[in-house]
Amino acid sequence: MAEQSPAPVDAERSAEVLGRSQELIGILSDQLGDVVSVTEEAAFGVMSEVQQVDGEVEALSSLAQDLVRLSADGASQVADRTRASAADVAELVQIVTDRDSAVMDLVGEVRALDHEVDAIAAVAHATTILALNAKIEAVRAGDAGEGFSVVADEVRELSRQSAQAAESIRAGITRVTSLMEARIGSGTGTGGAGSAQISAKLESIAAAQQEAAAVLSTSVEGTRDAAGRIAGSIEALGLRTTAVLGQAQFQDMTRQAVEGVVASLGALAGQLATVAEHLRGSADAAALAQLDDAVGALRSSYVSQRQRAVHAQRTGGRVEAVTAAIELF
Amino acid sequence: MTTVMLVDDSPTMLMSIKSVLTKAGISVETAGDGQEALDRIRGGLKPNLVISDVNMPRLDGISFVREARRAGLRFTPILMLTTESEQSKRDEAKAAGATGWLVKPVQPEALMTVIRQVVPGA
Repeated sequence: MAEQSPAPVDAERSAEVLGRSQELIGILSDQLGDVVSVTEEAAFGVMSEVQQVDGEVEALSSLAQDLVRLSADGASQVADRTRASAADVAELVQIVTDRDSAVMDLVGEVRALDHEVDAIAAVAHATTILALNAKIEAVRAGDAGEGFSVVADEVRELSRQSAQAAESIRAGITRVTSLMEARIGSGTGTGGAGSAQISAKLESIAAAQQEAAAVLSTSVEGTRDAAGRIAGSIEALGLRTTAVLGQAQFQDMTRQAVEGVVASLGALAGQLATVAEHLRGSADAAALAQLDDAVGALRSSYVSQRQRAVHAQRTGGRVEAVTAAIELF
Repeated sequence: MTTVMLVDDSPTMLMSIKSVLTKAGISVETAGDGQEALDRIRGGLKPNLVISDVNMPRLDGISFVREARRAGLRFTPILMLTTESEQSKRDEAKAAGATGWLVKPVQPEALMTVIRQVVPGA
């Protein structure tokens, strides 16, 4: 049995296909290199944004610590001043209590004079009775008692004046004690050394309150400033995270580019297999002639300006003009 | 609240753009290709804006625009967001009824500016 003679080898066509395959491999290599560049650029962009985010988070943390420290300092200072005020108030209450107690003792002493006035009034009354009896006895004595009668009248007059003076003193005591009690009761009493101490303490309390208010004001101002900076930092953080989210688009670009490369590698493998079969004599030259233009197919599969630019750079083709990234019709 | 329908076969793109829009206070509906988006519209979905990819399986973006206009989405703006940059494709999209063309990657701020241009108040 005679062996079947192998199909004639079309060396020229085989070399042409291999040459185009080499060109295709070069283009695919460039495309993959570009994918690596895109990926690196995107990764670098993401890293830059993440670093910025990290910086914002650190700034935010620092601001939060400032805020806590500011609040703690303010609260501590206000507490100190409040304690000082409370001590002043306690001393003030003691001063007022002591002074009122002294005044009430005085009132008691003055009221005690009432008994002495009663005694004077009783003596005046008895003297009046005595003068009346003396007058009666003087009248009985006739002419001999005339002088004594005059003395009796004078004694009665002195007795009356004594009684009047006693009543005036009693009225005076009543007015003074009522007035002192009323003033203590209404809290409008004044007194030398006590008033000076009260004024000093009130001034001390007022000063402490002013200091506390100033501390609070500073604390509120600082808190407002920190809150404003925190709000700004959070806004910047939001912009950074949005930018990071936007960077994820690179994946879709590289996916499409790699998909194109994979499809082209499949076509290339098929073409090389056909050439191999032809060289082994199991495929005739017609099979080589039917091979598609893999480079042209790759060129038409591109979806981005970047892919076309890489292709043109390798093949020496025309680089298309850059079109606007955003266009509203 | 403004509702935007995102159409893309890339889950990463959907997640990326959805996150950007959601942070801006926009409600987002998603579809994995033109056919799914068309079915949702035929089912009664009325978004304020559609942002669609071009190269997608089953039904590509430009065919989707054409069909969506026929399906009653006559005046709703439709933006194409794609890696595709060929002028002939842009012209085809414009003829099909697309409102604008954005080439990936688009910066979030630029995207929001365009959205506010075509959907005032978004």
